[in-house]
Amino acid sequence: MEYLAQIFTIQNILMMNVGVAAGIIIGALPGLSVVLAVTVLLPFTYGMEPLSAIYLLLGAYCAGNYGGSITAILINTPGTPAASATTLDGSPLAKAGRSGDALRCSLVASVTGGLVSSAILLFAAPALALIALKIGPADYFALCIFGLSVVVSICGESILKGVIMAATGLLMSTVGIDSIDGISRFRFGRFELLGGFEIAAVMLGAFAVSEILMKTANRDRGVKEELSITKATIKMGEIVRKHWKTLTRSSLIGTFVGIVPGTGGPLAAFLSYNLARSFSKEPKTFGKGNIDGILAPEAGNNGVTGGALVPMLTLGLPGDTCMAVLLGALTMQGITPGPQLFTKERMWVYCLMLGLFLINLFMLVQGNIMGNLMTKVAKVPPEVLIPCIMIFCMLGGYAIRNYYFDVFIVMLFGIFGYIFRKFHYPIPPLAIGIVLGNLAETNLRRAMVLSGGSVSIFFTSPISLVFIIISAIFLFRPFLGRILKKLLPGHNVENGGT
Amino acid sequence: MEAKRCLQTMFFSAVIMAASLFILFYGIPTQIDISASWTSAVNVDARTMPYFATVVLLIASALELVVNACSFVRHRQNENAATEQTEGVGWKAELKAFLMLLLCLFYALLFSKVGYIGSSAIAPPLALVLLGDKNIKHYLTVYAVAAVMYVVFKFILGISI
Repeated sequence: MEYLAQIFTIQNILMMNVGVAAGIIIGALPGLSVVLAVTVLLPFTYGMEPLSAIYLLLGAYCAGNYGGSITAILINTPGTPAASATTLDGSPLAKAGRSGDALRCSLVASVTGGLVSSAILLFAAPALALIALKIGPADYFALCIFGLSVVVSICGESILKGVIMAATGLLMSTVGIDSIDGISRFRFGRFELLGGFEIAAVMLGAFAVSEILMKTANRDRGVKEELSITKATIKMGEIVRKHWKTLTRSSLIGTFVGIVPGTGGPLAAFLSYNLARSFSKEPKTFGKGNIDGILAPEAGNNGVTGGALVPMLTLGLPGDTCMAVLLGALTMQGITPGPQLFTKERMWVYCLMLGLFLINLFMLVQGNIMGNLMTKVAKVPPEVLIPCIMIFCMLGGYAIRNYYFDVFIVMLFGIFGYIFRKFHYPIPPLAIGIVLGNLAETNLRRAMVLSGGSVSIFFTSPISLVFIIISAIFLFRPFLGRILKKLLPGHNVENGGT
Repeated sequence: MEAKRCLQTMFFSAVIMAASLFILFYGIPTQIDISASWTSAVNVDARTMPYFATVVLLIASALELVVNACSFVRHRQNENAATEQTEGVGWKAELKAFLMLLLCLFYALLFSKVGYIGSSAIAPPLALVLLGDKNIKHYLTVYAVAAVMYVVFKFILGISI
């Protein structure tokens, strides 16, 4: 009762809702990240009570991950990197005239992922933190390769095309200052490239600008494309009842991926998507508007929200930039995360974890209201959509760092994205390659320094070895299938691609 | 149609191979100076990942070229040559897309020179003109969206534009 009395104050409830609303809106706008949502709200927390302050920021963090799926579904442009996987089935379902159903599925999955990870956080946080400590550089590298192999194997018609795009992403992630030696790479003298390409600029260009060009070309070919935001026909209870396995599995994946610092939503989303496809009775319908193809990545990427709090609260280790901002906010409020937090500030910690449940429930309510409001927009003709996306791209590109240079990067990747899409090369592996490239390289080099230059470190660590083996299976599965088919004529193997 | 698609993929794979070779033998050695690197002693340095990614790119695009060359030969033998000749490239559609791209670049340039308000007053409506739209409501809608975005970014998010 004491905990509930602490949580259910007018200020706390208000801050949760303000945070959620801000998170959904900012997360939905392409070019604006969840980090921006949290950072923009940070100054408002200065004069607040610690619990209210953290609820405001957590609300933005959880809802921002969901908000990214709105534009991913409606205009095939993920608002956040974590929503890249949602475009695979969300956009086709919306184009088939079921945008309301797609948005509702995304909302239910996000809330479910958030609730499951909140429950795990509440009951198992200190124990789970010990797992995070066991992950070494070799394991991180293997995990990144695993993530890339998953994305490559599920995107597009050809694994080779996926590999080409992932390798392109890895190459582009090397632009900037090398994180180990401090050596400049591919900067061409531009100070704006010191930190490499901004992932938001890359995604805006590769997804949004290319979408403008594709819509223009398709329109001229007489291909009718209209954004019709329809009312949802599928009920929330029905989604949970029929797809509880996908939701549970993906939420757990998201939570455990979130516990590992530095991994994040995109990896969890694609892992969840791939597993959902593997377990599906109709895997060939993935990529064409399969409901599980929306539920899995959204539950996965919101499952990360609770998981990411585990290392932050228990060890004082922020897993990503958002957690670093939250850590800063906690420090300003006089709260020091770490092992002693669970003993010295027990009440506060458990109020925070219980409050996370409420935040997800408020997200359900607000997401539903926003979905209903959007159906009133009804049909949006592509003639109007194209200039509007153009405006989002300009503003979104500039808003990243207030550099005009980023706007031109958006245009550059827009050209690349259009050309790649014309030749049927998938875009998600490019985005994930850039996201995971830096993490993979840093840990590869750390591992090699630790082992004195020997690659055996990747095979002597059990976690690393398992991930490497699974990655190889994902990449070579279609070829193995063909070989098995020839060796065993009666063996019926699904063709996974080239 | 399939043969034509294989040909397009072969062409693009060849372009990627050429780019990979350029990066491998010129780009990386000239753009990444490892004379100050301390990690060279452990066989990984600032060039390792770029080399790894470029080699993977080269091999994958070479394999894609070979696979599509085999598919092209197979499809040409199966497909009706007359059907093949009637398939156009859709140059008009590509030209429109190219013009839209030029407009986006013009918008970006204008944005950097005159700012958001001036550039958004000109470029997005020009997109409607390019698409042949004469509905005044659409023009007003685009202006309204631009105005709302301005308010959200400048006054709510505090981003100076």
